[in-house]
Amino acid sequence: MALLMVAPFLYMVATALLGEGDTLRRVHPENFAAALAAAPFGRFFLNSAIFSVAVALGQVLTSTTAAYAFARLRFPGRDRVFTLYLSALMLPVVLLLVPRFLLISALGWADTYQGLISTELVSVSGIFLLRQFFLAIPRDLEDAARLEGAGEWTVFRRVVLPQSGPALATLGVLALADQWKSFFWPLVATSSADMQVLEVGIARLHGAYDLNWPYQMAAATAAVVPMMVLYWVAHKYFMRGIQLRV
Amino acid sequence: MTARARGRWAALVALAAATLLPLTAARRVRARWDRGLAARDASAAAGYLAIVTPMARSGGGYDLPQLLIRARALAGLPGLAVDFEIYDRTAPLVHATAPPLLPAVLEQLRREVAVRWTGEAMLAPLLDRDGWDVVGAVAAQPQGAGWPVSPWSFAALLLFVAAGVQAVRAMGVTGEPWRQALGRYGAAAGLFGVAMFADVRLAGRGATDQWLSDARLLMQEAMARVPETRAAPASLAPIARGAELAPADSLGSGVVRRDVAGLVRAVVAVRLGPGRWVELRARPLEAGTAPWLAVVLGLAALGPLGALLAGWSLAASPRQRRETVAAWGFLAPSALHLVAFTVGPLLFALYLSVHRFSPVEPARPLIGLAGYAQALGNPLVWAALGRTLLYACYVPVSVALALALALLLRGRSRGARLARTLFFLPAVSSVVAVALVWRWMYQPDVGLVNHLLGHLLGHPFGQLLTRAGLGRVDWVGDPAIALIAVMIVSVWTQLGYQMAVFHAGLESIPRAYVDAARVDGANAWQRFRRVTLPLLRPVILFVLVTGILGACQVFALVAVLTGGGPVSATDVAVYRIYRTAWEQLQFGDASVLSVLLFVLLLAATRAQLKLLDRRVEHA
Repeated sequence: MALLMVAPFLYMVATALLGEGDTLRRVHPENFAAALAAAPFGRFFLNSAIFSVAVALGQVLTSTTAAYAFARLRFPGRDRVFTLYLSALMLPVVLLLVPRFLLISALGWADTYQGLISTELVSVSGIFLLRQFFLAIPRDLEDAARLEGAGEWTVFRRVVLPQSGPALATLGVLALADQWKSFFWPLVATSSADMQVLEVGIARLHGAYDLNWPYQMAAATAAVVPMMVLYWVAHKYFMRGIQLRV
Repeated sequence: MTARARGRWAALVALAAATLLPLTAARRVRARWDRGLAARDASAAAGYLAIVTPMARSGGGYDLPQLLIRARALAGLPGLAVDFEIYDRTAPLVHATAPPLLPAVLEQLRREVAVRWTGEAMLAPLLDRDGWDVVGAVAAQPQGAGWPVSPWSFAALLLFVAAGVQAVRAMGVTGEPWRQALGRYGAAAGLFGVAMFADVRLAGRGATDQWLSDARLLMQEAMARVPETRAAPASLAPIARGAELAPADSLGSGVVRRDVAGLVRAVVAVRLGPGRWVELRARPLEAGTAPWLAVVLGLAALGPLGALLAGWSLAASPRQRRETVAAWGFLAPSALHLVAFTVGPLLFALYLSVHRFSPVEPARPLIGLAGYAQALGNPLVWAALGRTLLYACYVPVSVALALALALLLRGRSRGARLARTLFFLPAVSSVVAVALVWRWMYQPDVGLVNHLLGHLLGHPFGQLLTRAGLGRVDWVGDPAIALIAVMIVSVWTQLGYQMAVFHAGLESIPRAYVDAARVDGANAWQRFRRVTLPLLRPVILFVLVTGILGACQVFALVAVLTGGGPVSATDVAVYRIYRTAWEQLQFGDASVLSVLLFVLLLAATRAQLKLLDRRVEHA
């Protein structure tokens, strides 16, 4: 059963390496070189990396502060505001796509990194995740700091942040993986080949080399490998993210 | 100063800002439009003079006595909105005692040949008949704008100030009467904002109308003085630069608003002769004022907001105040982002859905709910929505499978852990790559799936299947099967993630519950049915609801795997929306479909919550 889950990946790598005819004798690494030369993959890689790292950092930043406010501070209308935040999760992404595209076009940001990144900088599910985490850690230390006259910002920076390294890493890793996979918004927000992310790039390659399967599998492998590596390295953060959501 | 006095002062400052800022903003807009009117009138007058004034016999400019007569006649025309001064080179002609034009200014006009603002008047270059040389200038001075606000705006202003003062007076009084006063204050602010907006709109309308009727007056004068122009109305075009000339019927004497090819235009008819008319069409200034409503309402809202904040901080303890300020500081980045990139776009999507809106067409008329009616009357839309729901049916299947697997692979053994890790792989890999791989595996002749199926079919049992017509399946090429093929891939990608969620859920169930059931003699099935399943219900609900929400928005998989085909067999809602927006460039229609999808999602989620809640009651 587990083999069934992995088989498509093995088949992908096999096709990329061995070519289409299943002659298992010769390996063709040149398939990779040729496929990767067929499009500016270096550029796609760089774009994907810039996009997902910037968004992940931004989401960690905005989510930490917002989650802290929702988890720890009392202010009028807190629960109502939190419900409003959560209701954003119900909105289908596609509903916002056209207006967001018009918005970044009006700002002159169409087909730029600003345009690509700016709309994604807040993640409500990230806020929810970190709020769960903050609710779970004891507040004794914070209260002690408050008693000693520390302001909220100091408490946040000196007491809360140092304890929440693992949670921030979890959110960062999840956001990174999420954005690396992101396809729809980059497809809409960018138009030139110079700005395309990997996902959009290989989807376009698919259009250009429709029946050249080894090429396509080589490109697919190139897109999958970074995430496999991330998953290998940061396996426990993926699982922690799931635990926090349940 | 006491806290109470401080609060009142702050609220009063907010009130002052809320009254003065909209007034100032409105004043600035009106001044800008008055200047725009002066600029257009100045160039209209320059165009008029170039048509009616004969050139000097000696060459080099207009005949001076004639120009003087024409200029004085022009300035004396009744009904013009601006005061004119006409310069022959630098010498003023209308008011002989007025100061001459500075030579440097004339030089600049000669260099740039454009209308410019001198500080009190708009200066347009006066070109010679051939349009080669600047021989003078026309200055148009806006007339004093009259009252700065209309009477009703003034009344609204008084009402607003009165309500504000009342709210401020009630502040700090026991029983919190300011909360009631605040409602009136807010309503008065809204009224004031709307009145100021109406002022701005009317000013725009007035400026447009005035310019068009001034242009018409000058065209009629030109025709009276140079009758040949009646036969060739195009020669009058320099008088109405910025407006469009079109043949027309009689329209009456006023300026009217009319729909021209989907765009609102201010139109005025000019009579050329008996039964012959042309009309001048221009984009009315008030057409672009809608954002001003938001601006003035926002500025007017400063007053009630200030009072709300001041009143609340008087009532709150210092600790509450500190925490609230800190909380909004922490929330500011995400809240501002959500307003700018989620709430704003959401409202704009609703706006788009009631307009015919395409990025390549200038006309974007309001069509109301016609877009919705059209979409709901379109069987293809219903088919796409239905197909989306059908596709989402893979979610219960994969949830059941994932739950079974999670129960099977609960252990801490190496094998179970490895299996869980491997199962999760599809969830972290790129969707486009997954779609490409499966597209390759689904190929009818050389693909892996049919290859394996072929091996299977070699067996006697398989041969039975072959007879039933299940031989070589064209997975993504057969309209009857393509959607199922996409669903299979979806199960494959989602299974590991859902299993991991269930695993986490199972881990969080205290062992003691299950052990207690075991002590009571419950068998494995009973333990699952009576203990584990009820405790896991929130997790199941979470996975189902989020899974279906995600499934209804599937895009990348469909776009790469099948491209919506074959014959729209996998044309799900979001893919259809994508094509409507980015292939047909119908942003309005796409927004309509998105709103419909949103409604569908809300309904589906509600239905699931209701259904599962009822099952909780029965359990």
